[in-house]
Amino acid sequence: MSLDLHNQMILDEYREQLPVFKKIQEIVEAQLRQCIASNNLYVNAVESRIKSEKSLTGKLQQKGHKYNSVKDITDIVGARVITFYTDEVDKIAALADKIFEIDWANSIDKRKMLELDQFGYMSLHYICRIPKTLYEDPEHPEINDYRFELQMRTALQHVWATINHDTGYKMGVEVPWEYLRNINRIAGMLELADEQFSRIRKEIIDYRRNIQSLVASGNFDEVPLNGDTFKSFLALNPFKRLIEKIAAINQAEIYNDDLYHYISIFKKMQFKTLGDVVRLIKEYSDDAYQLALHQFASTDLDIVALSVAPQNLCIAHIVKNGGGETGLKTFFDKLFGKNNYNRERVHRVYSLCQEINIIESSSNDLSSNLLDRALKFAIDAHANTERRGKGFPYIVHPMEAVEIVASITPDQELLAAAALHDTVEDTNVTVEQIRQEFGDRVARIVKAESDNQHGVPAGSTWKERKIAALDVLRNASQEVKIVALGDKLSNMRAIARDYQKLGDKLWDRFHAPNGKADHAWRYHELAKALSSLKDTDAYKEFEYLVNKTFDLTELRIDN
Amino acid sequence: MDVTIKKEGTKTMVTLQGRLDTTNADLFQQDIAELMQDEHPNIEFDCTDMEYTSSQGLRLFLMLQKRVNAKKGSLVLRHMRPQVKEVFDITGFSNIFKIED
Repeated sequence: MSLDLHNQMILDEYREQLPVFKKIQEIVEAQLRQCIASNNLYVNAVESRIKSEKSLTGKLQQKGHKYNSVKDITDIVGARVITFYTDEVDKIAALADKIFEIDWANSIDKRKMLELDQFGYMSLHYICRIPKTLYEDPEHPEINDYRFELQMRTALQHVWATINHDTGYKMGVEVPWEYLRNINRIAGMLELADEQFSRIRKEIIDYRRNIQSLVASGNFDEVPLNGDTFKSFLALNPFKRLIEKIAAINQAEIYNDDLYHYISIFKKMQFKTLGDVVRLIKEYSDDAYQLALHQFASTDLDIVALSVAPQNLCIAHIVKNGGGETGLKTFFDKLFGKNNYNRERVHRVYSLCQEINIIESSSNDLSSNLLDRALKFAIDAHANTERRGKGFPYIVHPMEAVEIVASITPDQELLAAAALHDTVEDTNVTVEQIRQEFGDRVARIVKAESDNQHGVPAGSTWKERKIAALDVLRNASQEVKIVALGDKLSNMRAIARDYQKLGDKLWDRFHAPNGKADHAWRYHELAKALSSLKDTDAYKEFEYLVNKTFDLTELRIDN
Repeated sequence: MDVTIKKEGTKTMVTLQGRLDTTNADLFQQDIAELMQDEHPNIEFDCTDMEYTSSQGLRLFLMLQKRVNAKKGSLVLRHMRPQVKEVFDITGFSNIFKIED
């Protein structure tokens, strides 16, 4: 269809001025991108387009009479910023106000235009000019005169607009009522989604702020280990002292590589709080340093990455907690990905650990006769007490626990804890005394083994107390589990022996109200709670005895 | 140390032979200068015959890795000998590079 003279004139003007429009488009898009980047905003998209001839022709046919010249058409050049969140639309609008000249008379906040029954879910449109302060070309003053349209909307609003546009319905009048109803419902849903996204984001920001202050307060035992907390923790540079000591070996330069990926390793090592990581650093730094000393001293390597610190700490931890070569292999597989180098790495590292007695020694000055002192202490504490109904001295049980723990790890502190594990529960000894004589680590493990209240209220049933105890054990650290296994296996061996002799009359001796079924339940749950030790011989023996003594059919269904 | 650079399609294969220590680190730096200019680095080092690397060598590799990261490219070190591997391991540099068989 051909245009009348008036419209044709405008179209010709458009064709003539195309280079100017292109220039405006270029400047506007570049400015938007730069402004967004320098304000650290992250948006979905920045787009721009010049109205096509076809589209302009269509517009002129409909309302060409409204315009005197191409200057009056404000959307020949159109730019669009699509954000993720509604509050960013306002931020972009504020920025646009600063960098461009806004034609307020013609700018509409279409978001505010909607009637309750009107469909849409629209965007913010500004009509703007490029100010002379931003760009000027004396040969082309039109660049500052022609207006362009800036649309700002969220991604959801954009999806809405696109889908809507696809239907071909532009004006409200032609829309069938059914469509109108459905489309309004979707608009409402999308609007709610936008609101929810904003709310979630605000909550995340608040959460992260809280985590930062929690980490800063130093209450690491109360801070759970997750991505946010670990990031805040790393910002405190917790490995600084250790890496500086290691670097001092050869006057090495320290390269600060990123340690964030250690979070999945710590999680695999059953660390639950930042406190666990802090303890790792405190208790294994000496071993980690010794390892590095032997690795570096005979070389002239004078550069180390920060990751040597957590790497060596983990190696020491794994080896001292009975992880052995298997544990190291799992660690390296996780750290470096499975590859053929890991097996050889494991041999090399493990041999070195053996050679320098990391496996034997503890980082505690009390090491040399620690176990001897612990055994003597336990003998005194349990003097004149008997193992229930057996007629032999109680001390035999902790000694058996020590033997069992020794089959898992040679760590003297764990052996000492095994020797002492019943002293606090059954005798007058306090945890504080243990701490003074044998150090924090031994005291902590003995305390974990002795807590038979576990926060359950007085007057709780046997079952309630046991459930609480199992919960604590399930979430305990590996070293606590090792000592617990020593204790429980010793008990289980005794139970199995006695069951052979006495049969079901055995259960009359114990506290549990429902006899065998309760014990069956408890021991099966214990086996599950200690399953992280399933590769040890001790665990395998435990599981075997439990299954043999307590047939699974003994378990009552109402457990 | 001998450095042979070969372009195979989009990949750049670099073969290393000999020792990389302080005496020839400067030469190595020159050799890899062209790799540093690459806009789309996709580099594979064949370390089968690399006998040894010193910290200076590690620093140069690090420089290359940073450049590759900036250009969002890839860098793989292959067929490393155990003794050389050990150097990367104990310095923590195995965490920084992609080292494959």
